[in-house]
Amino acid sequence: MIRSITLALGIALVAGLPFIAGNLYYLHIATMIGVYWVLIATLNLLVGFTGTLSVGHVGLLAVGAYAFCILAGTFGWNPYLALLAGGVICALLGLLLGLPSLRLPGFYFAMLTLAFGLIVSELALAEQWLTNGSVGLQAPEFPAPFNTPHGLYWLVVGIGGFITWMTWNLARFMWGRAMVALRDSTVAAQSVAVPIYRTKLIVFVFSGFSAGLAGGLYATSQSYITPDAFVVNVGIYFFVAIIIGGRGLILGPFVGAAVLAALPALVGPLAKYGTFFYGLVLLVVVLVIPGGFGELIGGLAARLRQAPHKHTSVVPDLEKLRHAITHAHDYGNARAGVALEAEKVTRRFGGLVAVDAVSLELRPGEVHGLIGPNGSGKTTLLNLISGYYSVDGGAIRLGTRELTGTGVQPRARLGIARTFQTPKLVRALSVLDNAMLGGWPDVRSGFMETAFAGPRPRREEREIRARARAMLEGIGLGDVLGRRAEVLEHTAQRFLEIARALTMRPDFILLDEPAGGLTTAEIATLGDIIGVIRDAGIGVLLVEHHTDFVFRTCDRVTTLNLGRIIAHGLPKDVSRDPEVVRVYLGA
Amino acid sequence: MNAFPPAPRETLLEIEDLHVAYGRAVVVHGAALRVRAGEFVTLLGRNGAGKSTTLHAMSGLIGKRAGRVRFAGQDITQSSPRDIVRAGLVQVLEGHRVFGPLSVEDNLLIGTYARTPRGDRARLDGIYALFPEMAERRRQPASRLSGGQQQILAVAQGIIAQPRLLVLDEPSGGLAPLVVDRILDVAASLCRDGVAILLVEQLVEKALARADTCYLMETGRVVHEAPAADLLGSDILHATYLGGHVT
Repeated sequence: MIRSITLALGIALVAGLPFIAGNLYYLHIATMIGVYWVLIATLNLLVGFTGTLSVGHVGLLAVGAYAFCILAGTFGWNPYLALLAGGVICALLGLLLGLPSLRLPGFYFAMLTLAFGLIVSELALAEQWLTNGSVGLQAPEFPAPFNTPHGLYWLVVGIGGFITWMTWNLARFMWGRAMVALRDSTVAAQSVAVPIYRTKLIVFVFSGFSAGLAGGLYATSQSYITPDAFVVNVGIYFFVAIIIGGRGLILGPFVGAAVLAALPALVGPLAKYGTFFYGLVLLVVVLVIPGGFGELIGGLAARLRQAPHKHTSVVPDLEKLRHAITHAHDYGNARAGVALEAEKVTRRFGGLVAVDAVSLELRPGEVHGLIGPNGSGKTTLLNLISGYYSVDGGAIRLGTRELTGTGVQPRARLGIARTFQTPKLVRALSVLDNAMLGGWPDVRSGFMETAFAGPRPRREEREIRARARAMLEGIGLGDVLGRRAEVLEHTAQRFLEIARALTMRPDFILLDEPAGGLTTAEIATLGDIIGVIRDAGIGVLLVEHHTDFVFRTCDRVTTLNLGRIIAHGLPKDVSRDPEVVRVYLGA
Repeated sequence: MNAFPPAPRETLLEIEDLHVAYGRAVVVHGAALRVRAGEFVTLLGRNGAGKSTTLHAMSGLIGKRAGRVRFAGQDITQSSPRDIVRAGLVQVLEGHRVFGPLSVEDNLLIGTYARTPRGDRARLDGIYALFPEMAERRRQPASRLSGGQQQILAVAQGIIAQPRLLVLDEPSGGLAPLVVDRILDVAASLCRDGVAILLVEQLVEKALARADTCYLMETGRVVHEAPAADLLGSDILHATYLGGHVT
């Protein structure tokens, strides 16, 4: 409701502006806001959604601007073609920049983009044969009707609106969840098969393309460009706009861009303080409303909507859960029916042998317990099987398929799901969105297909939403679908992780201390849930210290001590094994 | 637990009418409890009852909406976490919170800063005697320990601070059965030496077996107080954990 009103007001403002704005100066400012917005809208996907900091987009803006002037001016290309070519050139530059650097930790990537921005403005100055050096280049106009200030305004509004629509589509479908997931919890994103590096690269290339478009529009709206128009300050302006507008919101940064561009232009005295003004606004926003204007507005809206918080205990509906799991498996290929096997795997950390030639076979439809003293290598073994660690010796296999050299994501795609000792959820997303992340391995829609909201992303969205919802209702979280994951109680977080894993339609699920912090009654509930999972034919590996629970729930139990297996077999035998009693259970 | 009936002891910690909210959601409304010097108190209740929130508010880690907290004769309602720790109220948070990049030994030394501004290496030996598995790994970064070992380290960090009241929030998290008993026995033995203990734990029987007094919490309120021995296997305990109103 509030969203529709805001949107309607915004559209009315944008459409009516040429008529209200008495003079061309105001119209020019509005056009410039639109030009910057074309860049900021997609930079926000990179910075706000994937959490990758780029301060060098001003360099891409410059390349786009020069490409437009050179191609359309010097070489006399059709301006539309030159505009597009500028976008493509910047997309390629983004690819070249991102390929070697996006694997680096965020700080180094930010430094690299800063260096890029500086290099571009130096090159524009130095390569006179191409750029005319400090004298600059005349920017060509677009053909009629876009050759007047009003016409250009409408062209910018059109392109800006289109880019906004694309980012909105990206944010609301599965790609949006994947982007936020890799920002908030890389580990969780990996566990549901989100490709970290590739996703960042794609978003960076896309933002490069739109920065190139913005560059062309910038050039023509200024009618003349010189290298000093592309100083680092402009890059900081983009950044500040995103921060004060609200990271991770689609329209928030628009507010930031508009405020930052309009205020110094409209309020005369502010103009001479340019950068000082940006700094001051940034300081105030970060201190007073860290989430930015967008989140402030969103937060107020949420307050009006929010149902009062009340304690709800997690009560699963086992029949529903059974149905949800079975139904989820109807969706894709049939289960392989093979075992997941670790054969004599070894893992060292420095001088410590954490896991020493351990073999373990997890069969479909069984619950396999893994117990042992603290530091005996249980979690390490789980990390080796799920791919978070590579083995120093031995092999991991799924049936006859060799998994040893593969990473986490390929294994997740093959149906190996897991949970974590400390629940790894995407804090900023709702319960339903978190569970839906488990549907990522089934997403076939590409990035651009999603940006254009094609039929396939829509269908996948519906299917995964229904599956995740059924899973959550089955596991007992049906009443809190819309709640942000970060405000969930501990028990609910644990169960949500299991629901996310089940939404992956796994063949195997590895649970790392799922009963940690649960009450006796909740542990019994967890036992029921595990029973349903097993009966559905999924193999469960259960790392746990609640030994009564382990011996009651598991079909087989393996005990580790100092990285080696000391006992293995039926619960009743392992629980009486003298060595297990001595090192682990106690008398 | 004690060989002699305890003499009436002074009140060390007193929480009165505590209200805590996250945004508009009030999760603790009117919690009250008392810990006497040298007493072993356990605070039990279902997940979401507000136990950890109460502890966090008491230690000054989150804000209080209303209420009063007194410790060792002073009003600490508005005190900073730092002053509260200096006064001798030390809380071990749940979920093995340690300083990952620092070595095990540095983590322990941080614990001694509460009492000694420049740290006190002399106390390390005592802790290593209590937890030999930490001595073996003293030079390793804490992040290299397993989850359970980090939990042991967190508890050790609380003990080395020489608190007057040691608050343990689910110390058993991620610990092997043998180690759970060891940690709780260490707490009980500290208590015999005069340190008061406030324990939140989901291993209800183990907690009650060692505590003097038990408080039960339900939906943000303390609903019952009784000697721990009376509660083992009682109806009220059962009701608290299984949904209260049904039974």
